[in-house]
Amino acid sequence: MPPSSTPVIDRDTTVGAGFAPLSAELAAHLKECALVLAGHGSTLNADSSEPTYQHAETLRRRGIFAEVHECFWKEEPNFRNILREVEARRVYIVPNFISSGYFTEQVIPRELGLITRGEPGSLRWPVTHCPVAHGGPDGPAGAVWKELRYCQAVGLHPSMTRALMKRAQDVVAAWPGAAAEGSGAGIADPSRTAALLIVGHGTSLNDNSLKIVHEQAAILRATGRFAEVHACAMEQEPLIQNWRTLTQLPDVVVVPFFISDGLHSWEDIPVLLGVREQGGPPFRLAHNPWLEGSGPARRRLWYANSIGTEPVIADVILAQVAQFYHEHGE
Amino acid sequence: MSDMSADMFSQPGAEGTGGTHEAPEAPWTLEPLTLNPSPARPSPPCPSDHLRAWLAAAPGPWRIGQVAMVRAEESARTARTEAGGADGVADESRYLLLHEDDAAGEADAATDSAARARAALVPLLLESGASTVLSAPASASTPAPVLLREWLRWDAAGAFRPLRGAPNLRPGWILGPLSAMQVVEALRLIYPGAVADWALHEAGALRVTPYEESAARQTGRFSVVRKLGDERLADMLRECCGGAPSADGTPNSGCLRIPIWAPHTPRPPTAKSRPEIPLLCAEACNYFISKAREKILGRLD
Repeated sequence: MPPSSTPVIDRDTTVGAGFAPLSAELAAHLKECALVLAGHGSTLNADSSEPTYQHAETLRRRGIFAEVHECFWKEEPNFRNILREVEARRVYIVPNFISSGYFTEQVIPRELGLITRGEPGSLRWPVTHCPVAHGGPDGPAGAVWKELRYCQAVGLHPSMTRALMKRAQDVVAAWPGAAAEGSGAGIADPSRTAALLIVGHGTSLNDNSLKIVHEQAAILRATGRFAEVHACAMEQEPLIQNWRTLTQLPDVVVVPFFISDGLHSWEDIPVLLGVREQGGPPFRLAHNPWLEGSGPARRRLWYANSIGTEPVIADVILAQVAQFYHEHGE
Repeated sequence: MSDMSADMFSQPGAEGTGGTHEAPEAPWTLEPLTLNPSPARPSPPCPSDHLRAWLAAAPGPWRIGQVAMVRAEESARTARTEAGGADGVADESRYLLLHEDDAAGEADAATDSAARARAALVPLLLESGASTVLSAPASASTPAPVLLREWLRWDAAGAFRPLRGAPNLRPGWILGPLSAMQVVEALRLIYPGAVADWALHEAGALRVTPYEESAARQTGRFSVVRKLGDERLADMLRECCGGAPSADGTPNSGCLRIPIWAPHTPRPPTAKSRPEIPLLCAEACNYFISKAREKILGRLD
């Protein structure tokens, strides 16, 4: 377990820039604080909560916080009762969600006591003092008070760009056939021949997540590492199912902008891409690259797991905590 | 579509009330930190201190849900004053956690290595020198908390196990020897919230939320659960929460937690010397709320 003052990460050398190390001051502060990572979870499948468990475990093993807890909307421990388990007085809460919206702005604040029941306008962000031992803000005064520090959703942090680039590069580099092709990383020069497609959900009702996908695409485009970068969606233009006309380049790398793998990333999007039949087995990384055509017209599609399962997201979570600290202090 | 995908992208208000999001209008400000503003009222002990004191007060074995806890035979309990220790007592005891079926009514046998081998348990042993990192000999690269968590997430038939209080915890494992703090950490995984709620209950400080209040708090697609009513609530309590094993020994099919939020459910007496931590349920869980929604929509459709 590294001491907290050492750089949090600098493994990400292929991308060029690592995450900033924690300052000694911040490291000392976090050592007295708990981290609560709040995920969605599911009562039906285990894939939904997996990334939240994964990143919580990573951060727990680094020993940065006094305690690290995970909690869920749909699984145990629940948003509603997690704070009774937390023993530290200061608690950083990071929603492991891909964007802001209903869950980060209404459900989590309500369930954790960041908002007074029946008074939706009474948001007490970002720093709330709460008599946790008595079950939240509606309980009698007294008992154990905690300071709740509610951070932004994971997917909103600017360092998501780094995670996306890493995932896009890794999915190509992981292909066992790369060496046999004699093309190094599988795609000899992505800046000339490859398109990167970031896929969000998209809906006519809530375009928060897609807004971030467009922002991330613009930043990635500006790096020039891929010849083209496109933001796409499942249910909104530009539709991912139109990828064949969206780009004419021979190599296409697709990264789902979702927190967890499951129905959307392994089943729905591969169907839209035309690489999986409806009702067939889920698409897996072993199927990469998907080949279409032959000769000079041949195209290769590389499909990645959801961005939320990328190990470097643990550092994005830490970056959200650091951002809160820098904006609001101790 | 799974409940997760439907839920994540459905809009509040699509099926009920509560659809308007109220954005904070005032700029965020930093409030002064005032911890324990009512010092006259004693704070309940923190969960780990409470558990430590409880373990130190009796020889064991102890029980929580389907888990038996025994003192590892090689550990000697010593009491000495140490700064930061609970009540000035440092308990250096080590504990073993195992499934009640593997304890087979003879908890002492669990500490015996021959009995352990006979039971063909999956050993999750504490890596010496590590503070919280546990490892299993079979897979040294995987920390034991991860192995334990994965163990808890599936039942014997390989089905996902979203409800940790369900009486289908797989036997065939032993965890330890663990320090008292590591017991707390393991129990957080096995029965989330149980130690904390029990500590508050013992201190008379556990807030219990009636169903009507839980239902009133729901928004969006779950706001419909307000329509459950007493009769269906009673049905749901039988179907989802189960109860004590029946007279013929049929195990509880729902959840081992005691729904003290439900009408007419007595709270277990507080008694620090009892060798069992009760699994308390102070508020309808989201699994129950989801099922309540299904029941109501099923009836209305």
